[in-house]
Amino acid sequence: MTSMTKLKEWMDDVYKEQRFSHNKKLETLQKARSSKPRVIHWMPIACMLSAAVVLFVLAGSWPQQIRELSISSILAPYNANMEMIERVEHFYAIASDGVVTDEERRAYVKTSDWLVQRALESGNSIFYNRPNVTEEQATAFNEMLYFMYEFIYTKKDAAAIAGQLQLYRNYDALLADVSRMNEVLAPFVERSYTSSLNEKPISNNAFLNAPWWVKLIAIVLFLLFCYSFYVNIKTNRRIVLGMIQLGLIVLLTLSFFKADDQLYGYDETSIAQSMDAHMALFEETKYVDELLAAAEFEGGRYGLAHMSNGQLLLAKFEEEDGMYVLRSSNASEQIVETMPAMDYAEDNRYIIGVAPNSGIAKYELVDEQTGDVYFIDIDPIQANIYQFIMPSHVTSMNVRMYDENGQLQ
Amino acid sequence: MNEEKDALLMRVMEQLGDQVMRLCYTYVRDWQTAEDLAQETFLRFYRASHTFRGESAVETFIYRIAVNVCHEYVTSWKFKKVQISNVFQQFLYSKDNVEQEFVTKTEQEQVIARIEQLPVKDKDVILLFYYAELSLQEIADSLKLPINTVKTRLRRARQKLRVTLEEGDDQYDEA
Repeated sequence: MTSMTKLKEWMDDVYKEQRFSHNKKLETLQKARSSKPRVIHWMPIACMLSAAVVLFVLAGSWPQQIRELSISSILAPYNANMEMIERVEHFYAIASDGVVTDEERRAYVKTSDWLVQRALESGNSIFYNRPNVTEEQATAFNEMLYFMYEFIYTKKDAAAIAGQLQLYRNYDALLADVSRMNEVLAPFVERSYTSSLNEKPISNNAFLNAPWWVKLIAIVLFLLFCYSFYVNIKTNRRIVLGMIQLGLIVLLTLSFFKADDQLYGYDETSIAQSMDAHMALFEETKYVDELLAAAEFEGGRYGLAHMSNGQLLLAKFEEEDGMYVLRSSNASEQIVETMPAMDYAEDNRYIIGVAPNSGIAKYELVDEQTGDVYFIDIDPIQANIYQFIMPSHVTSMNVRMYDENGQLQ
Repeated sequence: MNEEKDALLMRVMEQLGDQVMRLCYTYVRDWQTAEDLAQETFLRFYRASHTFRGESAVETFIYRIAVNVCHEYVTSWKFKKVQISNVFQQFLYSKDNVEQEFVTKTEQEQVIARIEQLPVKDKDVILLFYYAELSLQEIADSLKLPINTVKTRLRRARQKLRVTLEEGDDQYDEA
């Protein structure tokens, strides 16, 4: 029988030849005396942080992947202030009697004010000349356009404001009264006006443009993997686990520097460039020849472009976290239509892009079941994007188009 | 102050140098490495001696450091490389030589050899209890384990060693 209690005695006996040598003791003492307290070396840490900041900044300034485009050289052929007056007159015409019919509503909301608003706030538009206004005045005009549109689109009671509307003799009279009109209309509109001036992405870095919660998760995961890798190195030294951790760290690091391949549409130039890049994904030979129109309707921004192959392209940009991202497109010859938009509870919405000089003056949809006819007037010369609203109970319809002479096309 | 620390270090090395080195050897089975690990143990003791408040004996403190130093080394890539090399070399030995080598060892050497082959977790408790002669509570504090876990591991390690206890050894010294 053996006893574990003699283990110490046995080990000391078996290993009696092996001793912690005197030289080793002296060496240990010498090392102990010369060892310096561990200090945090701030210089390498500061260098690493600076390098990280520089890399982030550089990542933001990497050349964009989108091909540079030369937009139409015909600069601002239209006057924004004239467009503004026409719009106000239209609003007056349909709301001043206190009743807005469905047909009047359809006629008012068929076009978007977005391009005019862009011209007013940025002063940089290929479609509209900007009048000489201050930033405050431009904002006031844009708010008025927005309030008028929302008032009609959401079917507010025109009788409540009819007595406060007036017809303006000229642009200056309108300018003088815009604040008052905004005060009249604002209570009827649920959401306030949001300018698209601040929509431009921070950089072309995907990480910097990502929503805040994505950034937070990515950073937390990165720190977590770094810490677990450090712990593994220091203690467990599991090679396979360490390789997995290192791989994840490398992947996350690469993602921080990934170029943003989202196609944004925050102004006319970016809309045209995004549509061009979008087409290039499908066919290198097709490209945007000319941006014909742009518009913004509920939940979507649209671009209409003439392509190099002669076709018309209508692209839809959907709003995501405050940015408009290209999500779908349709191409056609003369008139291009989107799929029906069923996102509004009471109406169906169709978005239609019309080529310049189409010759189409009237676009008509006929309910196949009831025979009811719904139409909008179209400019037969100027290209534009139209929103066609009709009641949601209409599920099957025929399309008819007429020229200026009323002839069916 | 430094002189006191130096004197303490020398005294501790004189008293425990051999034992610490032998304890380290049971983990790494190489005397050169064991001596280096023992040195590292005393260096850490020297650096941490200002934090030592005398709650336990100096020996307990030293053995605690030694076990941690050995743990770090056996989980390091350097040690794993050595292990792989040793395994490869073992294939070169014939089976007969290995058996004969074991038969010529004394009973004491056999027990020690068995202890060296124990898994690290079991080896810790065996060495700290029987070689370093720490109490169960001190072992639990050193290894940062519940005391019941220490008892369990100790029992299991002894079963693995297939050592029967003399009368009176069944009761652990709880002091």
